[in-house]
Amino acid sequence: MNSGHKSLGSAFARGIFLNNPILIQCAGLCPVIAGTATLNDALFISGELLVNLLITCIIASALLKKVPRFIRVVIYLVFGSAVSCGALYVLSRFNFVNVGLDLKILIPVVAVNSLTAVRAETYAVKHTVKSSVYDALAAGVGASLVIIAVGALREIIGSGSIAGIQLNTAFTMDGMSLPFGCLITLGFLAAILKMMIVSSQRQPREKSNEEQPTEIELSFEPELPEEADIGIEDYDDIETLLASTDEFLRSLTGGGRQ
Amino acid sequence: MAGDKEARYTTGQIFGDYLLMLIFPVILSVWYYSTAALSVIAVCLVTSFVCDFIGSIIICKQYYLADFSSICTGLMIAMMMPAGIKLYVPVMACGFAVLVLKIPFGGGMRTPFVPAAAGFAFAAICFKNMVFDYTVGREYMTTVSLGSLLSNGSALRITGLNVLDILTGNIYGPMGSGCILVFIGCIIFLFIRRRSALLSTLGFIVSCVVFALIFPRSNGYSAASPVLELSAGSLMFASVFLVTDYATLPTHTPNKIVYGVFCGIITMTMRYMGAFEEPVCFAVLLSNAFSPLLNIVTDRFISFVSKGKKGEEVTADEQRA
Repeated sequence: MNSGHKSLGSAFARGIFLNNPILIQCAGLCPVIAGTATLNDALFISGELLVNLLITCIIASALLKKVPRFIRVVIYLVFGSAVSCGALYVLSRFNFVNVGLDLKILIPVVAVNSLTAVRAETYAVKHTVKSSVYDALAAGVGASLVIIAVGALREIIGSGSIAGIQLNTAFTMDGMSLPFGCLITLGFLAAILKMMIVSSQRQPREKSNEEQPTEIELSFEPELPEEADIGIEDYDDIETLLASTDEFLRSLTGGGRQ
Repeated sequence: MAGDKEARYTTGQIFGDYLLMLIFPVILSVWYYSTAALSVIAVCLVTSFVCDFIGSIIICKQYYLADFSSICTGLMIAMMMPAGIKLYVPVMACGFAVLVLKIPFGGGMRTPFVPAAAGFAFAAICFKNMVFDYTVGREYMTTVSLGSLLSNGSALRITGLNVLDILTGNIYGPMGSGCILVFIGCIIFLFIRRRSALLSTLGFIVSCVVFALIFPRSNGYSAASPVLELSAGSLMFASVFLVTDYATLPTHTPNKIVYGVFCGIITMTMRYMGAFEEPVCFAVLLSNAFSPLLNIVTDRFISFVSKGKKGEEVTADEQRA
């Protein structure tokens, strides 16, 4: 069996930055768009999502490895519904969370979100319980951070308040409270995260290039990707081969469209 | 052919044409609204330029002022705004148009949606009350805009007195998109410079006129309905500047007419049933989304017809043999 994540740190690095479930994988967007108009809503949704993800991944890793896939998906849905029922009970029984009425309608959306199914199906059922817990925690925390950031930004820009406390903002943009405001915010956050990842990956590469001698740079031969694997026997005429070779070289050098 | 000439045009030439056409609405808006119009125009221009410059730096791309795309976007947004609007609204609209639409998609000639339309739509959603409030800036004219009169179903008649006001844009409305005479001049300019783009404009205007004739909104003389509909809001402005956008226009000639007609029908439907007084920007954005689909459908139709013709020729040759 694949052991997966070796440590909690590497799992968190992947879950929060490199493989963020919302900003990079675009999974579980429905609850994010529906339930992040205010910070309080975002906090509650992120908490529910984290609990749901953790419970589902633990059970999927511990008990559901031998169960057929089509049954597993139904079980994820049942666990999601159970968590949603618990969340609704908390809301109705203890009035310590100041959330809007809309959120009470949207809480069951978490039960059918794609993030839980994706993490459980792609990771939890193939790895150990410990590794699945790491992965669920990392993915859940990564998603929660994004949800909270989006909720806070939307509330400040859209309503001019934070967690219900009115701020003295110069103006408010009503559109940010609408779903399209969430999509725009997510787009900007995704762009910032991508920029951070690219710049962090570029720095060690530049350092390694500086350290290597010139002879090694000249002898560098890039590995052919699978898609661009060209065999001479596949081509009937030389023109097709030359055209494809030219296209492949252009893709390697990053040429073409400026 | 006009199409061949257009293929040789550079980005600077295409947006330079728009800039030339925009000079007259700008002059009129300054004539009517003086400093209020000047401040909105200046803010839009500066915001578009700064956002474009900063965006180019962020994505490590060389900035070309000579392509005029950001200047055109800023001016278009300014012309659709009311003169007395608070200045942060056009700033937001221009920032959205450049930073969300223009920069990420690789410039003014590659955007899937018209940046000016998207910027104005963004402002309309976020600041609905301010964007359609034309009462600030000019106190000596009629009390409400034509668009709101039409949406309320008021009894409107065109008389010799107000027809000149309507044609010259001396009515409540967006500061640079009310004068029909200017846009007729722009259409003549387009006829000289870019005839194929004009097809979409004609399709758009004809569909709006037909729609207004069939379903008049004013309670008065129904033949006046098309004139009133064309004069209200930014409809004529959009027909010249937004519908003809080079990047979003379909490539095939028949598609340009279909695109214009589709946009016109959507605009009029939204005017009749929508929540906004002037929904032309939303209609343009929706039409932009359908533009690639129109190209695909036409390509397939042409290939299907050509295959059918080839098949008929082959069978005729076989029969002869």
